[in-house]
Amino acid sequence: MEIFFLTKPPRSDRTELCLRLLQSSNDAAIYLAGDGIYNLLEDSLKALPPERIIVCKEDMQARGVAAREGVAVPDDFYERLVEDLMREGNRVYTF
Amino acid sequence: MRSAFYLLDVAPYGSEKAYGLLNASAVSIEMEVTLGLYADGVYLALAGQDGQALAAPTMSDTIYAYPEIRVLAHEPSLARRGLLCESLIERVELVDDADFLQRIRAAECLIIL
Repeated sequence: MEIFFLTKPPRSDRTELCLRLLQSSNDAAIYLAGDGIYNLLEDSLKALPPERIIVCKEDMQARGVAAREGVAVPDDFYERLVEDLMREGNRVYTF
Repeated sequence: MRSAFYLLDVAPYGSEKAYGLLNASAVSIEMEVTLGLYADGVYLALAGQDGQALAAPTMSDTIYAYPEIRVLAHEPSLARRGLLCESLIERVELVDDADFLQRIRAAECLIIL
């Protein structure tokens, strides 16, 4: 699986590059933290199954952004992220 | 690890990132190293740089000094900034969007400062 970790807001050049790599991926999950949370307000992630979007709860609450139905908001966001990062065969992109 | 893709998306001389990424590429030449210039990073491709007035190293010198580093410039980023009509460092290879993404995927890891 390809793991994307995005911490940049929607209009950032890095977000644009991340989304293009994501859209051409067959098996991807994206972790949103920091300003990456604001991408929940956009349509850019609509094509991804919601369960493949994992969001940092604290960053989301701080920014007053709500996650749509099915998006994963775990209590152990960073533990889950590290597990995915370390899993054999996963490819990681951080933006 | 046998290959790395360093991505620069910040303009040179205004911050340390370009200098840092160039030096990281230089010390990685045992591997297959690609330096990708993207967004504002494409300003590093401009010819005629001279850092002396800033008492800063001239970064294009590093590009010339290490031919082992493959330097790619994202063509849409150049076009968006009107740089296609400027003179660029000969060693910099212009690639289109699809090719740029493909080179990122081809490397074993992507490093962005």
